[in-house]
Amino acid sequence: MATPTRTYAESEADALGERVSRNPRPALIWVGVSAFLLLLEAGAAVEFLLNVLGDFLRAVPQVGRVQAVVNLQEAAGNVPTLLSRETIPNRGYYNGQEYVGTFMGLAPGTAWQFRVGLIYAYSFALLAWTWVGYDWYRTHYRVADWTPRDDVVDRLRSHGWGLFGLAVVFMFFVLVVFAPAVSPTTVAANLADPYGHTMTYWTGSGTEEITVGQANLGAQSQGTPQENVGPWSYDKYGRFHPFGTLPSGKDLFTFIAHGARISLIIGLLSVGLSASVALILALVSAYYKGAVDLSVVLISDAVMGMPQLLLLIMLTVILSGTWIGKIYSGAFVLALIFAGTGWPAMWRSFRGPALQVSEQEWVDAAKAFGQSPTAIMRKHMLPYITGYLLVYGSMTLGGAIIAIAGLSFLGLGVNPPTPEWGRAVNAGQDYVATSSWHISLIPGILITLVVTGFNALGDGIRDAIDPESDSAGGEGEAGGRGGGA
Amino acid sequence: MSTGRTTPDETESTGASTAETAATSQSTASTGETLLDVQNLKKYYDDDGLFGDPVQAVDGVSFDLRKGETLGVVGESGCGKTTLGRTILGLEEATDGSVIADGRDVTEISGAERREWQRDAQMVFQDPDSSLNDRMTVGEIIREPLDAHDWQTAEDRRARVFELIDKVGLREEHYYRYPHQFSGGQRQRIGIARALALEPEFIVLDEPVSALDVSVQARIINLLDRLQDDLGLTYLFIAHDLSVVRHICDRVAVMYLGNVVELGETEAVYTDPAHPYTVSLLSAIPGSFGPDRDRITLRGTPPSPRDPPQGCRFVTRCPAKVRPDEYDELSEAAWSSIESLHTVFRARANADESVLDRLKAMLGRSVREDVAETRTDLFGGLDLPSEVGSVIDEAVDRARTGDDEGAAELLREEFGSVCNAEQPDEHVVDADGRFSKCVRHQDGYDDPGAVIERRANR
Repeated sequence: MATPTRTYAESEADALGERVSRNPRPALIWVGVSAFLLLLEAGAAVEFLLNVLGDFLRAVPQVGRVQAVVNLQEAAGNVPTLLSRETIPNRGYYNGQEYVGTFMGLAPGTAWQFRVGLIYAYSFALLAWTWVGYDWYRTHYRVADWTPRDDVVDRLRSHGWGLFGLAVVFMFFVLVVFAPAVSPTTVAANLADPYGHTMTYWTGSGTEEITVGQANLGAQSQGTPQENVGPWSYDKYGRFHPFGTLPSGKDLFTFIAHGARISLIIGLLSVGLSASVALILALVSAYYKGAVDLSVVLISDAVMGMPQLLLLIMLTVILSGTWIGKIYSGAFVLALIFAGTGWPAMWRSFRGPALQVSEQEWVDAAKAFGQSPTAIMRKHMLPYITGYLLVYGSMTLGGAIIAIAGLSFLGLGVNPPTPEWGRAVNAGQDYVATSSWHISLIPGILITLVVTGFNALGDGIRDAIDPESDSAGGEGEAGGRGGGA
Repeated sequence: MSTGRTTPDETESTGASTAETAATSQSTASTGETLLDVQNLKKYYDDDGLFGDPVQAVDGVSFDLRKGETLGVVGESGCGKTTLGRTILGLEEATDGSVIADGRDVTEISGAERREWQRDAQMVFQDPDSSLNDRMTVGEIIREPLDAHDWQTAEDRRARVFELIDKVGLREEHYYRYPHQFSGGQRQRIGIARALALEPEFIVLDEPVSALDVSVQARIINLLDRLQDDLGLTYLFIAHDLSVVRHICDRVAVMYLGNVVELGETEAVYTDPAHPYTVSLLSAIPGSFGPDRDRITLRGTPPSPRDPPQGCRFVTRCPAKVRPDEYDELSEAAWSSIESLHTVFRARANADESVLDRLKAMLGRSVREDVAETRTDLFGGLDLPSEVGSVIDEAVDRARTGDDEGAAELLREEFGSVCNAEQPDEHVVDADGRFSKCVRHQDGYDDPGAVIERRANR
């Protein structure tokens, strides 16, 4: 074993802060660049968080519309953000000689591409910089020259399929966080209140003002070549539609970008809740075994015995009028139902490894010197299950996204007009064989891609954690929960 | 393997604490007072009655442990020696009996008293690969007991860990390494350092070297020896390697099927074993009995602890078993076959029968024709006296009709003796208080050793 004969002075055992202060250069550079990168887009990040918070608070009756949050949201809107639609606008009109109102007089499509390109370049730069930070921490500040996690990271780095998954998942996250900025238009102007907003367009001989709603009526995709705005094209009002329009004439890309928010929030919430429940129960049942384990087996079997789809339909209908049913357009209830019915499957996946770890001698050793049960579960069992948590979590997340899309395809779940991918697929199903094929196909492909990405990431993490389980052999133990509700 | 490298100030701190503990240990060790008094300790598994008979892993063990000594516990795999150690520490809940330390029964305590006992009594585990959490650094592992007991200040704890790392012969930079990066011997040193962290006075060593290379074993043994001298520790040394036990232990307890059959000063036990089982066990050490004496091979395997034999636990395999007078002239081979047949019947009586087998037996269509074959195999070449032959025939007949229990019972009644009837008491066999649980120490019986030799030469 190659162990460098480096000797440690007492001082090297200091806290991280002291180690940094002894060699502050890398840390300062990293923090400085990070702060600069974050400041560029602070507005977008704050907007996203406040939006989620505001939506939740608004739905709770006792609280209502919290003025403080509204003020914050307005304040966040005023935070100068470099890569926003304000600094790089793509909405404008042709006045006969040139484009007015777009970024540097570019065509709306070009301006939009420029903005989206910059946003993704920025995001990947941020990701790379985070990696640099980890790498510098390893070389400059970490005292251990090797940890078991290093091997996991190294294996993940050379796992092509897993990296593909990571890239897809990351791009999906960027789409979610920067949804307002990457959309060609805004939810308010195009989807929610089109008749309350106006726009200017070039009629061919002069400019004219029109409500967005009227413009949408003229930009519908109805399946005929005459009435269709396909992907990557302009409608007759000079608006660029990267993914074309919906049958109602609304912009599909904007719809999808904001629908991704709902999908991811439901997914994260339901997976987060069910994973926490499953994890705690797995640790407790594996540690105490016997009657505790048996009772959890019985409860989980009972929950698994309930028909999930019927439960979903029943609860969404019953709760639709109540305050909890209104939170996030019904998405919150969906997340709770997914979590409530999904934890037994996860618990079963965690129970095996948890039982295995609880039989290890180091658990006995900890009991022997009087470590408390919670500390034993946390320090000696949990680290061996977090890997499984990531694997099953990412795969279940993909399943949840499919399930939500499936439900809204059936007209259940998230209430209109809140955008949701499944509703776009549903809206386009009459036009699949016509020139408006894009309405169903593009969201469908995106759903498949994102879910595949989450599964690929799960595969990659599993292989990285346990190199002995190859993807071919491990099918049975870690199947993603796809197929909808 | 690294040897301890000490810097001047460390030597000072180590020296100070060593002197301190040595001082206290000296005062206690010199008195030779009792540290632990184990009385009739029992540990049964599955004793809730749902799954038939309980497993009697430890079945009424009594001994005392004196301060500063090393008591070895030897025996075959599954004889309950590890369970004994774990039950004393409270890792297993005792079914019955008591372990008295400092005037309190540690099988009954809870709360603050329990925390105190957890500090005083520690354990070193057999397998250094699985007794250390791979996701923690060596420093964190050794430090964890200190954290769990809120030992002094954080600064003191870290100083203590460095002191321990040095004490067990590791180097300071190992603090930040992970167990993966160490060899088996080094890992066992980490385990020992963890056990020492809370300054215990008593350590259970559960086969601490049996998973290690032979070359490393000696170093770990020497380390344990040195630590005992420095810190005044009391060891309960569980092992199946008899030569290691002879090297390190002051006294040795020989366990068989949940019972201590002999306990005494190591040298006395090794040179002049009293119990027949000890005699057989020691004869398994290569060369121990000299060229002119044969090794005593024990028949078969130990009986299941779910169903120990009546009377003496060792009766099914004992080379010095008391035999009924009327069969005195029976050959050794015949006795051996009779005991084997008895074992077969007992095993069959305990085997789980399928419902189909039981139905067939009720209908008189037994599938148990193989008993006759067993009889031929065992007694084929033997010339048995007629009365012995007829008893065996009757037993075989009983077994053939499915009455294995009756067959075993018949052999027990006919060929059994005092050994089958009662559990022998402890008999003190030498001046140092060594005891052995064998009826042959009573007046009127020959000494086990003499019997074994006589039978071996017949």
